[in-house]
Amino acid sequence: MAFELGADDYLAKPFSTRELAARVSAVLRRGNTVGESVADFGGDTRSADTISFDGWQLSQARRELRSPDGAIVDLTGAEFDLLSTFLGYPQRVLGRERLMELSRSRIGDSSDRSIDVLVSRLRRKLQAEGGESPIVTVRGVGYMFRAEVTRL
Amino acid sequence: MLQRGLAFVRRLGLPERLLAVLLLVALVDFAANTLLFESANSFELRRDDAERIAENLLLASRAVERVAPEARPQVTKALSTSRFTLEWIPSSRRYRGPVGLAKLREQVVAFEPDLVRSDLELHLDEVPGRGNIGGSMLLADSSVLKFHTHANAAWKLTAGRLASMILPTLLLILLAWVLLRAALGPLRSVIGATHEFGSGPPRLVPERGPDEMRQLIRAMNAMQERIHQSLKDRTQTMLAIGHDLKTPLARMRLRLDDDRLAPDMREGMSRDIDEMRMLIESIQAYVDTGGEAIPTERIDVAVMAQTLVDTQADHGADATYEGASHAVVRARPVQIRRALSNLIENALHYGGNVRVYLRKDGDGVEIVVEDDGPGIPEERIADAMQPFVRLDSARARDTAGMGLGLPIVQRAVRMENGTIDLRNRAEGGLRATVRLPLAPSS
Repeated sequence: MAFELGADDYLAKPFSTRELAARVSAVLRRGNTVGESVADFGGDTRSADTISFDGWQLSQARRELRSPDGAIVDLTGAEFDLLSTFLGYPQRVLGRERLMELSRSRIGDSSDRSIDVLVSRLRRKLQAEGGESPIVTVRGVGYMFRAEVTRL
Repeated sequence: MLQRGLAFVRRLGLPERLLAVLLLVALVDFAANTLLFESANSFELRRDDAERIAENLLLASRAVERVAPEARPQVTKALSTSRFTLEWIPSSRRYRGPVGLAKLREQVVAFEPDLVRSDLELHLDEVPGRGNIGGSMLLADSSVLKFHTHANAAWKLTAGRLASMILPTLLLILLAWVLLRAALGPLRSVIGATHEFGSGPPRLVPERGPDEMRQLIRAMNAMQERIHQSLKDRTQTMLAIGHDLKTPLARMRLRLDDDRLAPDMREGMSRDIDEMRMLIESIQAYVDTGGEAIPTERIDVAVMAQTLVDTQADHGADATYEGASHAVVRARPVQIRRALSNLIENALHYGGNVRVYLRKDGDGVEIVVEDDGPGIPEERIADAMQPFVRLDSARARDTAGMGLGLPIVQRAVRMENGTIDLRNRAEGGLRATVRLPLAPSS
């Protein structure tokens, strides 16, 4: 409901002022990142809601990922942000530091290792049984999202 | 016409139906007997058979009359053949069979008019043993000569007589069975509905059976509606209270930011507010899981479990996941996520660690949540599923909650046609096993 009315995020009562402040700054940061990444992608500043790749659908507003057969696939906040980052830079090799920088809103004080852990978790979730994952490791450099991305 | 008749029968009560069955059986009995007597009365033998009976009787009666009473039994015995047995009785009292053969008597008397004087009587034998036609006549000294004979043509009458005895009984048994079934059949659906009472929306039982049963079903359906309504009202009240409490809680939380508050005071009050919020949320979660109106979705429950475990592990908890990477079920996502999360949190809270295993077998998925904690005393396992029951009530109430964790899980899982099983592990600790049907691949 709140999202449908155009909100970026919402808090249910009762909330603490601290959480409110944290959420607001997170939304602001995210806004910057998305703007930046979209600009990189094709200069289109309209924020697209649904992004699809390999039959998967990611809804930005609902923060929801659906598999090609329509099943809801849960992601943690950090995984969602990481995937959003990958989708902003398809077919480009991203180093660990760059990934951390781009997804920092959630990952925060992540170390190199925790980026690897996040990527491997995300990979497992995106990988159909016996299939290939859209995220490939580029040895010594970082990771690349190899699937084609379309914004609806 | 037939329909109206049926409708009339349906409205009848049990006693009326019973009476109707008895009346019908009595009527059939009466009709069968009337028919039998009619056909016996007009029964005729072939000319030569009738002549044979007449001659035999006349000769036998003359022979018996001539000898002294003491010798008569021997004489009758000597005169008897396999097809025509005779018997002499000294007294004049004699047995007349219930099914008389009037026409046959006329036939016989027509051949031997002498027999008229001796009050000849002919009847159908009940038990076809010595013959199927029996009879008796008075001798001159008013003693009685009895006889039995075989007449092939009379078997139809004998069969008819047997049928007239058995048929009404059979009919009675059959109708009584039909009556009982019709009366008790609806009782089964009533029992079935009673079992499911209170879980889910009321399941109205169709009104069938005799009048009393219809009244019972009607009363029960009304009761179901009433209970459902009052449950709904209670749910609404709880939701309303929970919702209304959130606003003052939110205000309290904002007031905590006042600088004049001592830090330790702020900390304590913040914890209290958190606890109240959790209580309200658990009530709302429990009440919400009753909502069948929420649409189902395809959910990857394996990923859901992994995500919950990972989140706990990221916060430093001892949580592991093992098993399939993907398992798609059709369920209500929020409810199932809360159910799994409750199980995992319970394990961490009471056991200190959690291991989640997921296995697909056939058409279902099995999610096992284990811990190495103390488990639950065997006799209290059933209680654990009851709402508002807290197993740790003996201990200090150091944990937030209202004893709704497992009931929420149970309701959520049952709503998706799944099952939950709770048992202690042999090695110690608790094992919760949730089974859900896998969604057909689209």
